[in-house]
Amino acid sequence: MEISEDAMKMIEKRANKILKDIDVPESDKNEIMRELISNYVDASTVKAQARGASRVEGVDVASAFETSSDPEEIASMYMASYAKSLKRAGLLSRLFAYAIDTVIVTILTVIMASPIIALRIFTSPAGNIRITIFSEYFYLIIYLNLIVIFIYFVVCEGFFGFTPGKWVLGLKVLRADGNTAGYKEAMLRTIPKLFIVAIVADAILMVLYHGKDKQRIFDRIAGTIVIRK
Amino acid sequence: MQDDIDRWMKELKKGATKFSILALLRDGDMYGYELRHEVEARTEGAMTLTESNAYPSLHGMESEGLITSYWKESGSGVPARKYYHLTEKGEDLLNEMVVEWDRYVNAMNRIGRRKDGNQ
Repeated sequence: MEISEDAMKMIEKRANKILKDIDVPESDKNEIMRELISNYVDASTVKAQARGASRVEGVDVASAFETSSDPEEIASMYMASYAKSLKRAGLLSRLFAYAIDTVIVTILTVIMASPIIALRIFTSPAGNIRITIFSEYFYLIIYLNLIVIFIYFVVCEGFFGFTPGKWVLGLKVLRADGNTAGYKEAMLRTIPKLFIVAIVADAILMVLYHGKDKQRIFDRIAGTIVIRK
Repeated sequence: MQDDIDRWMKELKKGATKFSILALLRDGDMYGYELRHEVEARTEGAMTLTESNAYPSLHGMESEGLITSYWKESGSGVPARKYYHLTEKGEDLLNEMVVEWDRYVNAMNRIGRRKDGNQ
């Protein structure tokens, strides 16, 4: 049966809308796209036949869409079907990414702390610009560092799914069901990064006990996985 | 009440998707829409395979090696269709599923009935 240009456009638009939320290799995307288009063409053809038409028109497509699943739901189920086959990132690549992020976070902290340091310089007697350990300025900078760490990881992972360090290494944070992680998940998994002892312990426990899933304890709590593209 | 039933049926059907797809492919290779249509026709509408169920499941089953796929032109201006084929592994799993399914249904029927045999 013939299919009108309008009808085909509607179908392609729908398939694109679904594909937008499916984050898989390009070749897989093409397969999914073709299969979804074929599905909608078949479904619309049945509708056209039902009304005795010899050509699939926009109305048939619209009527096929009425009984069709939500685009978001299809995308989400597709991602779930990929979750099992996604490659989990191991300790080494994540450690490298973390090192890169730590450098960036440190630089950001120094930039943001510069007003504090400047204040210290201007308010102290000439020549004495040291910030001694356990002084109030020292604590201020530590607190600032913690805030920067938290915001940096939560915003990057919650919004993009990866930090600059993870981007360099080709890593991405996803929900365990394969779907994109949000701010809540990012927040939970960032908590141990605020305490060096905690993140080291979490990483060691990951290697010891969750070898296959490659999840830190706080990944489990957040329900997240880290994958390698 | 209807909501409760709907939710329960949804849970039940989740497990049935894989079973139905494997069972239908035993009769020959089929494409996605055909599978969806067959499920509905053979169960007289008691079960439907939505797009969100069917296609992601097919993808998952293919990566598990239960089925394989190939593209075939259907001519006359219709885009090519992706056909699915049951593998030996898929058939073995299906045979076991049939046995387990019968056992499960029988067990559930025995539990669901009242002890005195009345409905």
